[in-house]
Amino acid sequence: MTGFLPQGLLAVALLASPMTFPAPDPSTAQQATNRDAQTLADFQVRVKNYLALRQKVTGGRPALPDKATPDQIEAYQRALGQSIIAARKGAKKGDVFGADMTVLVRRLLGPIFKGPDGAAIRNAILEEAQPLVPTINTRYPDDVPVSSMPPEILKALPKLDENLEFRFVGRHLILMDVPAHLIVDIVDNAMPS
Amino acid sequence: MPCLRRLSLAITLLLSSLLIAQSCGGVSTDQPAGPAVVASPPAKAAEPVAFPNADGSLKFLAFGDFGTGEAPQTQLVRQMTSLHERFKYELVITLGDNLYGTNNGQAYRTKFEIPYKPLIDAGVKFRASLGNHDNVNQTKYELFGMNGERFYTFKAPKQNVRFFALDSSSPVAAQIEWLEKELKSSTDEWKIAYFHHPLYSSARGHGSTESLRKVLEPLFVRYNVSVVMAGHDHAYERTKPQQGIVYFVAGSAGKLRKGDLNRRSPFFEAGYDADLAFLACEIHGDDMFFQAISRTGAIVDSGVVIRRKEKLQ
Repeated sequence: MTGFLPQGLLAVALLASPMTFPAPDPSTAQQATNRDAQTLADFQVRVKNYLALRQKVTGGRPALPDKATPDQIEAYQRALGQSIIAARKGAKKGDVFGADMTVLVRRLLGPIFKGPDGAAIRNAILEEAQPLVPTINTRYPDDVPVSSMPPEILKALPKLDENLEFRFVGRHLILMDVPAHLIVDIVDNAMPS
Repeated sequence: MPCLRRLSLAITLLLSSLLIAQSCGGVSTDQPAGPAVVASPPAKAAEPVAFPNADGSLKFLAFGDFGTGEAPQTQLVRQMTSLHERFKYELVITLGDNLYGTNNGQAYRTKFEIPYKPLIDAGVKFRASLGNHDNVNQTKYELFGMNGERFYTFKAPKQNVRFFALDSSSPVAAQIEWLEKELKSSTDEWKIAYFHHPLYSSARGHGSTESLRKVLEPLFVRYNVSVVMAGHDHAYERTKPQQGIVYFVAGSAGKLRKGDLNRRSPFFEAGYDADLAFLACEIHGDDMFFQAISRTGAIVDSGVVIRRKEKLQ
């Protein structure tokens, strides 16, 4: 369980500590930390479920060799993406993040964007942002560059399987399936305005 | 005269090292090495490359932000091809944004395989790093030499040089931990890191990636990296050594942002933002000779980086 705890969660616990709030109830802070840890654990379960589904629909497909041709790469990525999209037909926003994780993501990232380096971090993420509204279970647009992910942001978020990564599209955080180039799920407005 | 200058520089370095050793009462091997130094080239070449161009040296190119498939990219490749006739480089390290726009099969051909065909046919090996315009599946593309990895290290075939290619748009903890482990275990005299987002850049377009600098620079300093190369900003720049390390930006091999450099930036040393350019390098012993070469074949910057060396015991 603690392996999933991102640095941001520690900050959440510290913010809820007696140093910040007058006359706190220590058990309240502990409960908040436990709740957040549970939210993260639940998120990881949903991630595992996604990966299991992914494995199921792609299991029989030969892996892309590490020394592939352009046509092999394109065919593999398109076929992988289409299989996953079909298997997740009817998927809804929040299926992987979940309501609690969506709230927690905003709470973890908010202080970073409002902190002393917040403006620089925001600028780094948005430097090549394009007016794009992300849609779940669709291919990430081919001609849109991916956002940079500053280390401070990545430290605050949970670790992911190598097939998945976090990126921003504008102010929205997306969970991306890297080999399939798909938008798996979205946290709207994870970056405060 | 140039020889005298080099000799004088070497003596200065030696004396500096001795002074440091005296004042510190000896320096442990855990200490980072001394600074890399940039000296003038040994001779002014009329055309690109009069380096030592020595047998057995490592000769390579570095450039980024190239995969447009448009005429300027191809025109710059002509200079690379022409250079290869008299300077047999065997390696190209790419600094990201290898393929702009759609990364489909056709794009690999029109934005990479066709423009660089003369180099590919000549046996030049590419070792790519990813930029923010690159689809991660480029790691599987045989001619980019990434062997499926987003970050990786490799040693020059015969020389005491090790390269570290990073994925700077997603510096996850696993990558940083991997980098530290690899840097620490490397005993190579030359350590060169390359990736897309520059830690130091005087360009107005993007500029320095400071959040990444906070994470990477301490590792580069501690583990004796001498040179760091990046792209992203569409200009050529060389910094004054920063904490002993020389930083290059060579992000104008296909795209250009004319007049983008702020030459008053505190770390700016040399730059070129009037046309496309690439960097040609030769590592010979402790020296890395370099020339930045423009689309017209002009040498727009040149010099020698003398690698960081262990301080005296």
